[in-house]
Amino acid sequence: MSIQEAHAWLEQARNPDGSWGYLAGQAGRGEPTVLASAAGLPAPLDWLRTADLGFAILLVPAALSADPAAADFRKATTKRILKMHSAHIDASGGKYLAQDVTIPGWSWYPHTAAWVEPTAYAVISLKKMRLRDDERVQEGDALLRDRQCDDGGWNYGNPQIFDQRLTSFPGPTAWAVMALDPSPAVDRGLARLDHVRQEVSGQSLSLAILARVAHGRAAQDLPDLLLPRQRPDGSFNARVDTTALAVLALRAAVEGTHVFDLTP
Amino acid sequence: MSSISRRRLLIGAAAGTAAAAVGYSRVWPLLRQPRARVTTLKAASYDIDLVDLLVRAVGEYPRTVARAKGARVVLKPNLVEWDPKRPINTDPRLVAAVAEVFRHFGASEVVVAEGPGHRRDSELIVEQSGLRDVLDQLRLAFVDLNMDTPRRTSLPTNYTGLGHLELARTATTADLLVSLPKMKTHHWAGATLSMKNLFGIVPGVVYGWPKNPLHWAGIEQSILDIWAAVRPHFAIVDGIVAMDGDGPLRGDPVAMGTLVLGEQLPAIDATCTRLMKFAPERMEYLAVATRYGGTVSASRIDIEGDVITPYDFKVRPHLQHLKAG
Repeated sequence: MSIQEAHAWLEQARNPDGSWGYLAGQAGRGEPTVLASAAGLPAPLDWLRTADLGFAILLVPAALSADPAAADFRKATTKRILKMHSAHIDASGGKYLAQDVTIPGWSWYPHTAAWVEPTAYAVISLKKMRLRDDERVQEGDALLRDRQCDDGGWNYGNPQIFDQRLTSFPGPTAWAVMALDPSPAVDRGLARLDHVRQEVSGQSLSLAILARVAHGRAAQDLPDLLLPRQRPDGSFNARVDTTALAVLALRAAVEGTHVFDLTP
Repeated sequence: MSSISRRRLLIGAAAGTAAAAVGYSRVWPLLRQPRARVTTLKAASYDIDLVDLLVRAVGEYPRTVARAKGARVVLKPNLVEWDPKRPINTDPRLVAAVAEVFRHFGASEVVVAEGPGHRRDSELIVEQSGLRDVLDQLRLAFVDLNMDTPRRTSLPTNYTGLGHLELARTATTADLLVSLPKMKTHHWAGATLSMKNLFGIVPGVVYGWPKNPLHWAGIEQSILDIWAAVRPHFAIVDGIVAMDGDGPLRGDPVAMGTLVLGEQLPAIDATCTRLMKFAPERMEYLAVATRYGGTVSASRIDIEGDVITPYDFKVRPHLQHLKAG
C-alpha cells in the first residue's frame, strides 16, 4: 500500500461536483474538500468559491498554497479571515477558567468563543500569506500560547476548568505546534507529541508527522506506524480528511516539507 | 447554573406568560404529568450477565420490544473523553450487552453512534476507551455523529431561540434510538443523564468541538430543545460505576451498582437524580420538561425492579442548591 493507493481512493471518493464529504458518497463539505486539495488532488475551485465552507475557510490560504490557480481565491479568503472575530466571554463566564478570555481568536461557529484548532488554522493561513506581523496573527499566537496545557500539549482550548488542570490530546497539539514559531513552548509541544506512539490513530500519527516536519524534525518511526493503518481499499479509516492528512504526512516525511509548513 | 437564569428559561419562546410571571414552583403541572414507568436494577459489576438481566427488564416494555423487531436500532453511548483512572464513558461492556439485547428482540441492525464533544479524532477515542474491541467482537458499525450528514430539525420548544438545529441523520432517522448515558454529575448542568447525552447527536462539523453554540444558547435550554425535537424511544443509564464530584470529566468513581431504564427520558433522569440525592424539581430542564409530556414528580413515576439506596453524590459548591434536603 502506498500514497498512490490513498490518492486513488480519494479520487474515487470525490463527488461529481468536485467536492468531498468526510465519507465517500456524502455531500461535499468544506474541510474534507480543502484537505483533499491540500493533499495534491485538483481543487474544485468553482465549488469552493460558492459553497458554505464553514470553519474550513480558515485553512484555505494555506491548504491551496501550492495551487497557482487558487491565488485570487486565497487572497479573498484571507480578507474574510481577517474580519472574522470570536465572541468575547465576559468575566462571569471566564472566572471558572484559568485563561485570558480577553484574547481574541477564531471560533468554529460564528459569534461563539475562540478555540485552539480554528485559531491555529487561521494563524497558519495568515502566516502563509506573509501576514506574520499583522495584529490578528499576534493575537492568535498569544491565544495559542495562553492555552497550552501543563503537559506541554493542547486540548480543544481549556487548560483548566475550576481548579482542575486538564490534559492535552494529539490533534490540537499538532495544529498549535504547526501554527507557532520555534520557541520553548513548541519544543514542549513536540515532546508531548512523542506520546502518539501510545495514542495511535491515522489522524494522530499524520498530524504528529506534519508538526515535526514543520519544525525541521525528522518523522522518525511515525510513518512506519502510520502505513499499517491503511485499509485494503487505500483509505485511512475510510475517511477523506484522515486519508488526505495521511497522504500529506507520508509525502512530508520524504520531502521534508508540506503546505502547512511555515519555514521561509 | 447561575448564568442560566430561571426567568430566562421560563420565558423561552414556547413558555406561557403566566408561568413566567409566577415561577415554576407554582405552575408545576403535577396533575398533567403522565404516569411513567422506570425500572431500576441492581448490577454489581460489568462482569455479571448483563444481557440476561436486560433482556428480562427491557422485555417488560412491550412497545419497545415491538418497535425493535426488524428495526434499525441506534445506541447512543456517552463517549466524550478518555482517562484510564476515571469512569467518563458508558462502559463498553454495557454497550455490548445492550446491542445483544436488541438483537435478541429482532433488530435488523444495531449501530453504535456518538459525536464526542471534545475529541475530533473518534478513531483514537474509540480505541482508547475499549469500544473498538466491542465493535469488532460483535461486528457492530460505529458512526461518528460529528461527521454524519446533518439534517435540519426544527425545535418545537425553542428555548435556545435558535429555531432549528442541524442534527445527525443517523440518530434522527433511527427506528429505535436508545440513549445510553453514564450517570455523572455535571459542573454546569448539575447532572448529565439520558437527556444531556443527546448533545452527542449535534454534529461537530457544523457546530465545532466543543459544540459551543449550545453553550452560548444555554446548556439547559439546549438539553430541552434537543430532547423535545428528537424524543428518543428508550434509555438505559449506566450507573454501575457512576461519577460524582467534578463531573463530567474530572470526577470520582461511585460504585452505585445500578442500571436505570425506561421509555420516558425525563422520568428516568428524575429518578436518577433522586438516587444521586438531587432535587429534580430544582433542575430547570427537568422542571420545564413537564410541560412537554415529561414526568418528574415522584408520585407520578412507577418504579419497578430492585430497590436502590440513594447515595449523596458530591457536587461543586455552586451546585449545592440543586441537592435534596
